[in-house]
Amino acid sequence: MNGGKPKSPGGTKYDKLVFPIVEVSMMGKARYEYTAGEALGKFLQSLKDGKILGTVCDKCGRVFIPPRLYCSYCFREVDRWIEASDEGVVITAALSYIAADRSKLEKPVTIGVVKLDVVEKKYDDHFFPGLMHYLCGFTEEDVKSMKIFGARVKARWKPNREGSIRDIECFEKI
Amino acid sequence: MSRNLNFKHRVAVVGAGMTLFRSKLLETPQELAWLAARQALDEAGLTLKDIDCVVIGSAPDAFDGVHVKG
Amino acid sequence: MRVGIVGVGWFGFQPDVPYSFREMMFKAAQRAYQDAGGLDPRSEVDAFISCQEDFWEGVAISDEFAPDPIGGVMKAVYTVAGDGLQCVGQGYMMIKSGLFDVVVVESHGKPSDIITLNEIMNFATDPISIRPLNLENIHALAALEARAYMEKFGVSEESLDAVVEKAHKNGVRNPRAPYASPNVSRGEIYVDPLRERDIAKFVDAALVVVLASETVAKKYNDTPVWILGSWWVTETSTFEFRDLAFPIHAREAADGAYVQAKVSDPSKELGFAEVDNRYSFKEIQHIEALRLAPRGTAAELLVDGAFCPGGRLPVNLSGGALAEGVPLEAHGLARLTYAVNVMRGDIKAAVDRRERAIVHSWRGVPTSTSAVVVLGV
Ligand SMILES: [Zn+2]
Repeated sequence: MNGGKPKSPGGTKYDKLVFPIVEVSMMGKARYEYTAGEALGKFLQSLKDGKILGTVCDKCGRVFIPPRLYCSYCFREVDRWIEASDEGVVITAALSYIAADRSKLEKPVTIGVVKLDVVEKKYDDHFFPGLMHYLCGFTEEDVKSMKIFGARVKARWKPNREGSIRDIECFEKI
Repeated sequence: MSRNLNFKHRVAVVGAGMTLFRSKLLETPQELAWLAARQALDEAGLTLKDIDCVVIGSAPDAFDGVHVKG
Repeated sequence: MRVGIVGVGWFGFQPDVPYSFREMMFKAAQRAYQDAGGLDPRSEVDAFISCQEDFWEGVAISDEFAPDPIGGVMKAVYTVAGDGLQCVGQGYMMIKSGLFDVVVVESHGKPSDIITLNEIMNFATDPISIRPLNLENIHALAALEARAYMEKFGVSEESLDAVVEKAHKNGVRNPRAPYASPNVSRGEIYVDPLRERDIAKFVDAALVVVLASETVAKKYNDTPVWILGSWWVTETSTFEFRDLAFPIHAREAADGAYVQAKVSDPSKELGFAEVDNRYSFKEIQHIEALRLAPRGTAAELLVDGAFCPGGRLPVNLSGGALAEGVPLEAHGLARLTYAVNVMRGDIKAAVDRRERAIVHSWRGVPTSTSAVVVLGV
């Protein structure tokens, strides 16, 4: 019993294949219905009303958006809910030219992470409350040149909302 | 409490085995594991009888499409 | 250096818990740390281990979700793809090595989130030789083992009646056994010889256990329950290659743990047992595999009441998985925590000797993995 060995470092061609190549295709049917739970359930519910909610740990001052029921850093239940603004600042962004199936996109898509404004907190004195989402209204050049960093954006809400993170179409350049 | 990071017992690697790295090998994952394990045991001059415990690390199940792979 | 269990906590044991799996983990952890004398996981725990499987979670690399809800962020955390009792084995080794003093073990299951459970379980079968058969009902694999065992040892379906009856009767006294409903027949046939109530239902639950070295255990708990032995074994991934008439993985796992615990005659030295009964016949098999009765005799002894509360060696005072349900990989911790609560006297149970017990879990079809822990006070 001695299998073949691929011959070139980059290739998949075996120099002498001593067994037949058979591939068994398998289509999986893994389907789930995730329980959002208390914190994220309330978060999704509020998106329907056009609001972005978070939770606050008063011990360390961290704001959690998307919200958590607990502070992972202090290991305690969070103290209260807070409503964040639907405006914020881009802290990182990238362009995607290729779709998940590796086909070329007609126009590149901009994704980014937005740090949202929280009324009682200054920009620097609270832990990251933000969302990763699509960014719109920026040119390819804005992203490539990294001028987009620090840009102010605002959520563009869908008119018909159903309690999903996609109720926000994208965060749009102000 | 505190992790005892100054632990004195030493642990040695006494044998190792490795398959080729290729973009698409034609053996099954089990066959590849067997090839590497056999090399490691041969190099250490050991047989399966000498082994107390096996530790396996591999890609998460979803990447292999096999549930309860461990 | 002995290893003690100084805190246990659980949350859920309902068919459909409204909280997310993360919130369930947090709530179970809170209770376990409370039980461990108010231990602070952020400063007093050296390492965390979580037992889980990606396809149960519906999340690839679900390992990354383990630290946050249990206080393990920015700390040494790893996951084991296995039953919670295997995690206990890992923690036991870590503390035995002398490198760690306090290790937290977590496991959870949220089967109510899985729509295609049969498909997911099919995903655990051999992808080339069994999965293409598209078994309509994965419990068929258990039925094959049941028939092989019953034929070899002359076990009748009346003994399955007795297991189910005992499980539900015991379960009534267990506050976390939502499926306990005594005085009902085994129900309609599912996969011969298994009827509806021969097969444990699934349940949502999260469990957390705190382990500590002997040096520090008393700081957290006046009555630690000691782990005297911990062993686990997997037979082979190929269903056809296994001993289908007898779970030798359970036998091997038990024997390993007995050597560590210096138990030479388990049926005499142990006071009670919590074993895997996710299928009724498995309880009988496991009693024999753990050497609590000679091979081929457990069915009759069970019918005679030897393993009932107040009997010679009570098995599954909790009712086991048949009454509590199977919280996926957390099942072993369900058995363990129940035994700990009985040994500490938190649960009043009809057992003469509670100072030594064995806990066992199997990972269910199509696996051949058993994990065993021997406990002492
Ligand atoms: Zn905090």
